[in-house]
Amino acid sequence: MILDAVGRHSARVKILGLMILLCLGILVMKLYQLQVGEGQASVERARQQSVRTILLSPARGLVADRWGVPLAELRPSVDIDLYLLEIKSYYRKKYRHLPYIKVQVRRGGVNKAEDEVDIVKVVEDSIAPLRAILGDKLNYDPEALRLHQRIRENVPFQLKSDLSFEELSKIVERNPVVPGVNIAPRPVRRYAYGATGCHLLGYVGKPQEAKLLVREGRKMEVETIGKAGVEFALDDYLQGDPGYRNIEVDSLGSVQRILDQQQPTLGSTVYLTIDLRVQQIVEKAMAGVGRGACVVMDVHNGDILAMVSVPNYDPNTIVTKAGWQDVALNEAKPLMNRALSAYAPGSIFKPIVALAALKYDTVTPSFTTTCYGGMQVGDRYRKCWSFDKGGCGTLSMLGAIRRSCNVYFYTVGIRTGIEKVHDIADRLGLGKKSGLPLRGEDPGTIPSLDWMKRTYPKDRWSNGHMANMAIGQGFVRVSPLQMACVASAIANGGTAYYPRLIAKVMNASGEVVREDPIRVKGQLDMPAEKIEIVRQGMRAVVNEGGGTGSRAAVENYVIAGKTGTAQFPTRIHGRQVKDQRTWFMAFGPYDEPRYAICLMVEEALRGATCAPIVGEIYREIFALESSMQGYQLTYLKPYHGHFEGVQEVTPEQDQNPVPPPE
Amino acid sequence: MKRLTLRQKLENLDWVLLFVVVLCALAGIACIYSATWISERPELRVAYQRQAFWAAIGLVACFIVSLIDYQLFLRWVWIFFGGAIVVLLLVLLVGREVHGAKSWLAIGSLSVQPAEFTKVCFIIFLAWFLTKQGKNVRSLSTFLMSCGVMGVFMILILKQPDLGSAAVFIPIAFAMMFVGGVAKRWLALGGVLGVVGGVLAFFFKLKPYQKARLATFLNPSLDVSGAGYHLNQSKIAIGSGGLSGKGFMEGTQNMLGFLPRDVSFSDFIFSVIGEEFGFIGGVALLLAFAFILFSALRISMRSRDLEGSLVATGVVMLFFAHIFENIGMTIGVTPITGIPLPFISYGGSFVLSCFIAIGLLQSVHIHRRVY
Repeated sequence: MILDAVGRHSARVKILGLMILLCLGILVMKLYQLQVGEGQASVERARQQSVRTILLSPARGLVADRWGVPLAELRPSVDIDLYLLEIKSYYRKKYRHLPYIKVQVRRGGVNKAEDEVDIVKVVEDSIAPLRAILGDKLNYDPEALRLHQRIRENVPFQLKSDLSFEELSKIVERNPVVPGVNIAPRPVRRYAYGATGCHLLGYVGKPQEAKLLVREGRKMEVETIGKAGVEFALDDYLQGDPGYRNIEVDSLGSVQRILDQQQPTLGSTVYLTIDLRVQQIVEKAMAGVGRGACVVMDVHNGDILAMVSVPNYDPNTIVTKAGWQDVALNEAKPLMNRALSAYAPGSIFKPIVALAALKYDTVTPSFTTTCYGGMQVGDRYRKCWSFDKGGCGTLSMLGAIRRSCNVYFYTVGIRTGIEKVHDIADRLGLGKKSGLPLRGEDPGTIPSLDWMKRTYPKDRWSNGHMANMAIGQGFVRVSPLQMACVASAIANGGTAYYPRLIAKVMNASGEVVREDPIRVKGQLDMPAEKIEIVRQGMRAVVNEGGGTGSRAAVENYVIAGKTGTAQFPTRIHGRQVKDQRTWFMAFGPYDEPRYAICLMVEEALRGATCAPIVGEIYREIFALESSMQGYQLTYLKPYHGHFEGVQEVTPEQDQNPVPPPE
Repeated sequence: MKRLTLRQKLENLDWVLLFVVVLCALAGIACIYSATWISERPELRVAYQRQAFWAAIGLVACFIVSLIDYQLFLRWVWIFFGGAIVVLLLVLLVGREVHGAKSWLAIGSLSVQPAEFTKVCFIIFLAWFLTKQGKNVRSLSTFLMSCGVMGVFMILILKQPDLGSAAVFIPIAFAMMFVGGVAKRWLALGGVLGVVGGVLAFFFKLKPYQKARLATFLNPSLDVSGAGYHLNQSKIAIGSGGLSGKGFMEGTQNMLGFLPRDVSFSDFIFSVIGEEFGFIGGVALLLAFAFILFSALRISMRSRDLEGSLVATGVVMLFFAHIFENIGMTIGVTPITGIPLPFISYGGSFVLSCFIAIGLLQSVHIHRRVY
């Protein structure tokens, strides 16, 4: 009986064994799924919760002139940096909890209330020992701190930058130990020559939103970005690779050890075509004019040797609140690069009309007209600037350029016609963007019949329009940069080059990573002797009695140039005023031209404003060429410009203006 | 039946089984060390030493129990039964509370968890009771009385409260009744009633934290930082161990405290094993457990009488319930209840009671039928 029972229970034990086997099988299967199937995902999750990446700021590359003299360089700034993750982990250890606040956050276009660590309170509690030393000097924007926590927590927050020597020594003396607070020098942008070339260089600042830099498949947040100029346009080259430090944290967030790290690198150096000495010569020559711009160009390749726009600003201080206000409140618009803005050229457009007439033989060089101070065009009598003097007399092409006679160019312009003038302007690159890597360039306007149809479909192109165009008024708009190209083309026998600002970009190990080639934009395609007539006319402007630009003359060198003036109404401080733009376009030396200059000045003071400045610039450039001595480079303070001499007008006064004397 | 000499008894002992058990205990001590060496609490850092001490005591107890004929325990069944009930009542009256559960009795400087030992007592009692029923074993009254005794133990332990330990009595009782010959219809009925009772208990009896644990078991991503935290971190630890693990004392989940250090050496020791020794290590441990379980089942089948067979069955289910529930909860197969892994998890009372259970098993084996 016992054996019987044992026999029966043996079978039941076997069933039990089967069930056990089944359950163990389930465990093994689940283990397999977890460890072998999804193992890699778990490794990633384990890593995610235990590894924090801290970014190490890269050093920004330099911006140098054509000879390698740095305009934008780096200087050490001793900063107090807050590593927010570390501060929070220490805070939690000490107080057992973190304070939270409700904040309104925009997510997907909807405002939501979310809990966020009250980082300002955490930081204030943590930096109490520092505050005891520095007191009120330790001021920061609490909102900026909150924003920083939200968008780039793993980048240190700069509590205070540029500690003074006294502040630093006070801190070192008391040596307060606050985990997560680091006092260290960091490389920051410094513009060594102040406002020099500020419109070219631009400036740097913190990104508005988190900007990711993808390098070698790794995404990193960028701490400083270029906001304008070359700093903006070539930001990708100038950014160094940020370094990083992977740290291991425990479940409370406290740092255990450094897993691996990579040091940040120095960004590439951008070499401009600018010659810093020429740039400073021009900057200094321009100090004093109301507002204006000047471009110095190498006539043989389009290299921009100097480009100045005043008023200007100091890129070192523009990112500060005071510096920004200074710029924002100035009605002369210091941020605007006037060299790239388009204006009515006035008489400096006349050589272009002359070239068109000569190329297409609408007049011969010996063609003459007689100016009695004005002429009838259509139903209107148009004056020459010499109206009060009884006219310019009988002039050939050369003389007409020299004296800038309006009557001659009314006649020639109407004979030549809009399409031929447009063709020459187009060959010289007018009415088109020059392709510089700078923002805010105005292509300007050169009217054509097509343009007229598109822009003023109800109007017809008339001789009146043509007369206006022939003296650089009416619809014509050009920029100082474009006119420097025109002067270069006239100087070098008819080749217009694309202006070049970036010579090359070289990375930290000396490899050239970008080189901007010299490119031809257009050819005049006309015999040299025809261009020579215009060149001679421009030489006469400066060098012969009765020329309008005689004050641009330089001893021992022959300069050729052309003056221009255009009045324009504008609003300053809310009042309607009459302002005046004066131009001077030049090249020199006449026989072996090297430098083309276009200068534009906005101010209504009487007198030939431009010619003497251009003469002064040439004089100094030639002195630089011939002397062995170095040029004394200086730190330039920003120049604010002025509105002296502008006259308040009532709108009706502005009818049928007499072209001003030139 | 003639009495065996000591020499015969030692020859009859299942040395291979004992060897595997000792191996498991040693592995347990090593894993406890790996789980605690980094802890900032000194009493945790020496946990492995205390475990070694209790394992040694357990081994001695195991030998003593092995050599005594289990029939002697069955004859003294009322001492065990009475002792167990008295001790459980004592715990409720004068027990020490740790982590909200009054599970401990202080004897001098020692703290013991009597519930662990009462599981063994219950096995002895039920083996005696079921055998004593003889042909009556298939009757409803046998089933009801077995369940009643089980209920008494469970209620006393639930009062502490220790849901995990109380629940272990169910598979032990049902397996022993099944092998002992209780009619299948009563067992099935009991199963159905048990599920219904469980559902009712969930709504009326369980504490909020127990409900939360069950809820997270059903949906682990529900609350990753709260009730689901343990399970989530345990799965990350085990999963990140991969095929071959991160190496002894290299488990980052444990070292960095994502696996809470107060349970990583006790209830969640398998998470440490899974992380440090990977799938290979986990399966090796399961194979060792399987070896112990199937050796015990074989002992059950070859026992000289029904009592021995039932005792062995009870011991198998005691181990199996702990193994399945403990490992299962670390990988999300079973809900989280705090019961330890035999021979591996830290716990003096538990390791001692496990060795005593092995002793009982060996006793059944030594005094088996000899053909």
